[in-house]
Amino acid sequence: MSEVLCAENITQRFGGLDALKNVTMHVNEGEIIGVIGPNGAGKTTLFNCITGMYCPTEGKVSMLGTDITGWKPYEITAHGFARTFQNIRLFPKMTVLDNVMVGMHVQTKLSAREWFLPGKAKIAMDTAIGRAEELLKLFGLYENRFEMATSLPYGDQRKVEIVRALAIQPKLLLLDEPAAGMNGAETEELGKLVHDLRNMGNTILLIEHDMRFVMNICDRLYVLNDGALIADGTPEEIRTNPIVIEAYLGKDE
Amino acid sequence: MIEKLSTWLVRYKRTLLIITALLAVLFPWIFSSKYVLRIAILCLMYCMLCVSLNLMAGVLGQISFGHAAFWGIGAYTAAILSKNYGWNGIAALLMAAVIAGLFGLLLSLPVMHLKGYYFTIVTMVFCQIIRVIEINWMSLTNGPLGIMAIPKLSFFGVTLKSQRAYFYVILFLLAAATFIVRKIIHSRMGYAILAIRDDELAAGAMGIHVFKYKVYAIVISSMLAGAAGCFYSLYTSYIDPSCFTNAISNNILVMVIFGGLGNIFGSFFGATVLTILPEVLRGFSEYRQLVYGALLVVLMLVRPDGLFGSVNFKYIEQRLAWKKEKAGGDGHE
Ligand SMILES: Nc1ncnc2c1ncn2[C@@H]1O[C@H](COP(=O)(O)OP(=O)(O)OP(=O)(O)O)[C@@H](O)[C@H]1O
Ligand SMILES: [Mg+2]
Repeated sequence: MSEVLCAENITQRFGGLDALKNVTMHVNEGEIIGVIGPNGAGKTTLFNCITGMYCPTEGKVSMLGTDITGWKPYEITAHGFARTFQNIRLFPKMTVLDNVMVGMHVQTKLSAREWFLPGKAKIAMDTAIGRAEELLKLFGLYENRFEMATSLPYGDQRKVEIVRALAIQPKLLLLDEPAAGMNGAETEELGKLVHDLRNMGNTILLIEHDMRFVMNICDRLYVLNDGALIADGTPEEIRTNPIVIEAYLGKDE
Repeated sequence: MIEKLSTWLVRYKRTLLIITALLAVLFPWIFSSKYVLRIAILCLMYCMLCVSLNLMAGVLGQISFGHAAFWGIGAYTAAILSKNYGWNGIAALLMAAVIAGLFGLLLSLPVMHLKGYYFTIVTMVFCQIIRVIEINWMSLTNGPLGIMAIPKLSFFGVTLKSQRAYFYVILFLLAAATFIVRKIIHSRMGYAILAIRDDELAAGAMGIHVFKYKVYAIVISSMLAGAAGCFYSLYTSYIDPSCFTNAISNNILVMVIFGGLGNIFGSFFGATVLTILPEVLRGFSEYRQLVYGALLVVLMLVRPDGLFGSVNFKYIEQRLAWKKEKAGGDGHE
């Protein structure tokens, strides 16, 4: 099994604040990994470091053995990491289908030779539209594909973001709180979908607050608190880990 | 109302296109007055300028108050090349586009990291600078006197003199420019540029090289404006720096915004209405500016996005087709 993602000793400093302190983690191919932790623990910051939105102050990020530290977000995406955003960032003036089509950008790239073959570009785009429609069917959004993306209910918008990220055909899919704002039934359905995605060969790293969701679907978990990694292991191990319990209970008090 | 009109336009798209094309081709035979033809030619040229500016301002979302600069650069390039060096029309046209494109590149590189208003201000200053150069580089541009007696367009030894001929030339150029911009919008590059307009950060997260596509859009937009400039100087045979001022830039932008940012049909509409209106209002002389201004204010109050700014013909078409398909599918069951 190869390591799709490996982050070593990541530290991210914002002025005087250490949002991440010496965090080391990795994701193997085919795994579903969860990142949990209280609000402000640094989970989104970790995603931003992995996907190039921030360049970590210290540490190294690698994708399948390639050092990608300091790469630009678009380079990292083109190389194989795709993400969703905690505060949904769909393209507001586009339909659902076109949002997904933007995600096809990397896949529809033509090689220098294909550029000069007439009709190639059209074939690539048509294939992409077909693929986008298949993905939307999988998520039950096919009927809505010509609606404006931001006019959909919140939960569906999150799904569109996931589809858009899947369109990139990433080696690793990073989901930032995919179930946020969903009701119980929707969350359960999403859990099934994430499972299906793994069975289809995807590797997934996700941030989530919903404990039941995380415990049910993740193979391993990383627990962040105050920017530091305080525990990692299987859901079972995490559930009974006294340090984790304290971190969560401590916050609740 | 605009929504209804748009749906209607889409529904009868093919018929309307054929009629428009026919009317356009027959126009110079229906109206033979020199004055009318001159207005029509300028109108088509403004349509071309608006379509090109729309790529930058509407599709990419970088509002520019300096589009006349590219137009002027194209005009001067063509004038100098054809007058001093005897270049033929087609070569001058290509070179005008290339030089204008180079200036577009020059403008876009340093300002690419500036957001929103900063870019807009830079374009304004850019237009001023180009004008100052046109006025002061005597040896090249003949300064404020302008360049006179620019040779008329000629193809294979035949010199075009009639208004009718120029009408067809600009009609062809406009069709070509529209074709190019449309092709771009509906291609992979178009998706990328539109994504950048909507959300730069999310576009980057989709693997889009934001910087590169911004430069592409700006360069192509300025190239098309340069081509329009070439036409202008060969058509009028006389250009001077006062043709390419900030005021003209503003006018072009107003036309694009009037028609609706991002909508090609809107650009046609805006350019046509705002070119013809001042002519129609000529009789009212002193009230002309007033009516013109009042119309714009009302429009911006009622439809801040411009007439067709919130209309996407592609989406209307897709929804209509989908509705039809669903209805058809139900019928068979
Ligand atoms: N760009 C930034 N500049 C300064 N501080 C930041 C920046 N981004 C994040 N932080 C800080 O880093 C800390 C971690 O933020 P982060 O968004 O990663 O938390 P999180 O674990 O995702 O929380 P939540 O569950 O609320 O989403 C917070 O204290 C936040 O204020
Ligand atoms: Mg977060």
